[in-house]
Amino acid sequence: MSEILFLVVRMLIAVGLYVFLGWAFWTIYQDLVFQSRSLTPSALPKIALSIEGEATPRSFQQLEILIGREVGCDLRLTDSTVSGRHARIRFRQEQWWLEDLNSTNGTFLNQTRLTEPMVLTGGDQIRCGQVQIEVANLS
Amino acid sequence: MRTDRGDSVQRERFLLLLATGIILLFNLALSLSIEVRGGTGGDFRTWQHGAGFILWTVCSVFVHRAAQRSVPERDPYLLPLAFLLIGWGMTTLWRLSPYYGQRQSLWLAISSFVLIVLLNAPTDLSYLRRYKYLWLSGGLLLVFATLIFGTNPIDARLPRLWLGCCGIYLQPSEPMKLFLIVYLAAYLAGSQRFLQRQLNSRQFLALLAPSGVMSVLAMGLLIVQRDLGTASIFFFLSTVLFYFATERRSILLFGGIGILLGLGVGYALFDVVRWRVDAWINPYLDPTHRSYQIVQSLIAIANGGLFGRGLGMGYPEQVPVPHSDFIYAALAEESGLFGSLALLGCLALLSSRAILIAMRTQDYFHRLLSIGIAAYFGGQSLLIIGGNLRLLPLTGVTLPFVSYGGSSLLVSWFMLGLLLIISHSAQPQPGILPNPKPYRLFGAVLLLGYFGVALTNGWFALYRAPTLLARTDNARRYIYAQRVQRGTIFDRQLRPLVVSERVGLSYQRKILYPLLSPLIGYSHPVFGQSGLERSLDEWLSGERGYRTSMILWQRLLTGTPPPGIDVRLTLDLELQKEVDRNLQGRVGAAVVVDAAAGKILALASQPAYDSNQLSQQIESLLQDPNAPFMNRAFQGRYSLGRLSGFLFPKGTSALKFVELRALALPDGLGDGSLPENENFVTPLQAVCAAAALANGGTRLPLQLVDALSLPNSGWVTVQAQSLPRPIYQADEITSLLEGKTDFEGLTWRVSGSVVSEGGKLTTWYIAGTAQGWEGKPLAMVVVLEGEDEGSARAIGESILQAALLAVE
Repeated sequence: MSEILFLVVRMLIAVGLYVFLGWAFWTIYQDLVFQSRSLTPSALPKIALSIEGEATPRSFQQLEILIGREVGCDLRLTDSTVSGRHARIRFRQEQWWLEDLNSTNGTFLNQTRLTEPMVLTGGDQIRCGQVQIEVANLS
Repeated sequence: MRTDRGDSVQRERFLLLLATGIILLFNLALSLSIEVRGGTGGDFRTWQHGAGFILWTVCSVFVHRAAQRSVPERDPYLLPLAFLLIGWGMTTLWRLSPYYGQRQSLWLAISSFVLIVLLNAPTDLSYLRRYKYLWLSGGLLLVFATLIFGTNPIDARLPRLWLGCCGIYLQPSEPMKLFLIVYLAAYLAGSQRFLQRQLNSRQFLALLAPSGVMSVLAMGLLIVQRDLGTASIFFFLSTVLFYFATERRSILLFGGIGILLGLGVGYALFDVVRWRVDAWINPYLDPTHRSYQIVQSLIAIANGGLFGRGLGMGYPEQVPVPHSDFIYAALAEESGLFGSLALLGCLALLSSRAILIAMRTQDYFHRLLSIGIAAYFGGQSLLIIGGNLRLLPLTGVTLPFVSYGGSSLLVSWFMLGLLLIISHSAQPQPGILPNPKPYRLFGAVLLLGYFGVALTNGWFALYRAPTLLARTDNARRYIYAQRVQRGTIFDRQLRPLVVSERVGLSYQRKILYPLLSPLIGYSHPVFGQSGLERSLDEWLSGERGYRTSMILWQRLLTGTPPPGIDVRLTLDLELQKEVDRNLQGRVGAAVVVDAAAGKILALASQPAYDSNQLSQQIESLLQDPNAPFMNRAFQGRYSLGRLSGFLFPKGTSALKFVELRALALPDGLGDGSLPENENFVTPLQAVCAAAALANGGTRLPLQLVDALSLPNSGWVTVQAQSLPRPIYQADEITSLLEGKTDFEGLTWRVSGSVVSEGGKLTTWYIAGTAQGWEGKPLAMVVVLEGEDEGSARAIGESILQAALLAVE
């Protein structure tokens, strides 16, 4: 009798080991699928920012938007209160994060000065130096 | 890629829970195996490894909590993998010896404590980078100290690689691996800006020189200590880190040349290397000495087969050092190919996670550190598993997390902590990787290595298994012979002659009527087998007689063949005793057969020996001039003299008809081949002819085995294979027996003496029943050495009367 029980335990061990490995590989595979999907352009998140004094909001479909006065910035603001590389909006963990890049005059989110990255929601007011930006739309 | 923090923690918890279930089952299997092996239940030994399991669970909870507090964004696969491996290894150690199990449990507690301290230290690891020379020189100093103060806790004659006292020993070469990785990663990360520029080779070498010198120094120290496995790991780690830092292929080329050069120089200079390489190239040349370990390891893996014998049911202690160097062979024997593939899967997953972490982290020092740790885990695992499988020369390094060894466990645990910290501080989205080539190449090489190891394991566990298991140096065959009850040998009335008695956990063969030892022989763990024990071994050991599925099922359940088949002989114990009593004190043989059936009723050879006393008496038995091991009835060849004309009136060519080949006669006994000198016959050949005379001229094949007790069908009679054959005409018999029968015409007898060239006297007495006898026809032969015709006739008559009484 104990032999049969022993065999059952041995079989359970083998099943357990492969469930462990199988589940680990399955979740890693899911991560891969998720990652590859989030990297394809069609699935890229969109964000629209309306800048004070501009008629139409600017729309972006990329993971990182650099805001500043420099030529290479995605959102170029020519105001003198804006630093060369002023702030950054990044899509991380399914959310848009606003991050100050050590700017001279600071980045404000709804009148609060940023010290660490903050999550953006629709209708948020961003101020870089003296420039007001409204988050018009985001996905 | 982690989707979010909560999901990642859930994954780790689920995998840890699964690992807990698996380790619990391992412990349960270990408890059960003691019972299956026949140990008593309720024994303290049955449950004491449970303490190790509880400690393991406590450690995993505490480490998980500490990690949750300090490094919440860690890789979720590392901790469950490490805990599964250590739990598996620890249970195996408890199984091999509770001493190692206890010590490993203690070291797990210490290592977990160190890991928790590490996780609570600053997670930027700058202290490692800043004090790189301190770590390295401290490590070197410790290794250097073993040259002077080193000891070996097991055997002082072996390499003294340990430092310590009071029962706790540290092997400094283990932490030295960690320090070397830290130093090289820190140094190379510091000079990264220069290394990846276009440099001429002089500048390039100048940059690498300090770390190269340090690596060579460390390796040299280990070579002086004869710790060649660790030295080769050092070489591997340095090569990998140099390659990642410089991204130059030529480093790999130099590394490959260096390994070959090292192997060549080592082969020429060190005996150890020469032995190991020779044992690797051809282990079967010297399987009892230098390649003993590797051959035994392969046999253990072959014994595991596909499903394994089950934890606690294999014989890994047949392989030397199963707790450290050969723990993989122990695991493979008891978990089978299924288990070892899962183990390789876990190790491969661990290595690939480490490489992935290196790719994700943004800090160059962290990146090199992770690569070094991945190289340590992957390289060391492949080196020792490859050694166990004869894929690589054997080197005495540990299998990370699994092998016994406090220093090794502590260092592996510390490296795991570093990986947890690095994965926590890495960005969730990959940053820029300027050149992914080295990562791809390294990952592919490691995974290919695991694949090769898995294939080799399958080759030995399945394809080569029958050849390996049939080797005479596979001790399991003799162990099974003692573990499985061997079939009983009965006489024709089902009186037991030889039985297997249970003594403790094993069975002992015991002959109840020792005077039959020259016929029945012995089945002894040291002296092997002889006689009927040998010729009937397939049946008696349970290898034959069962359905194949039944044998496979039994092997799956207990790892042994099913119990042996009982055998019933044609012998009559009462008559046998009477014959032996008559022969007592003489040198000779006597055979009585049932002439109508060809069944041997008594077969005696004296002097006999007692197979129960074999171990005590073997020396004196071998020196006895009367050769008690020889069975004179079928191994002694005697000249018939003038009796040849009586038994074989048509000349010696009649001997061709004395064909004794009947089913299941012992080797030599059933052999009907003609003697070189046809005038010399065995008593058994003579009695076969005499039986034909008693049976109206028809010779029957002689038979010694009457029936086999087969499962489900009870006693099944054994049929003789050859057919009856007439060898005497009726009138021939009349003329032959004329003047040799008694008054009533019931029996006939002849006797005669022959003096051989050496002056030895042989006396024959041949008798049988005549036509007047109405009972079962009988025939008998007595041969005596050094006795005159008178005493032979007296003995013969006495036996004849006893035989007639017995069949009446």
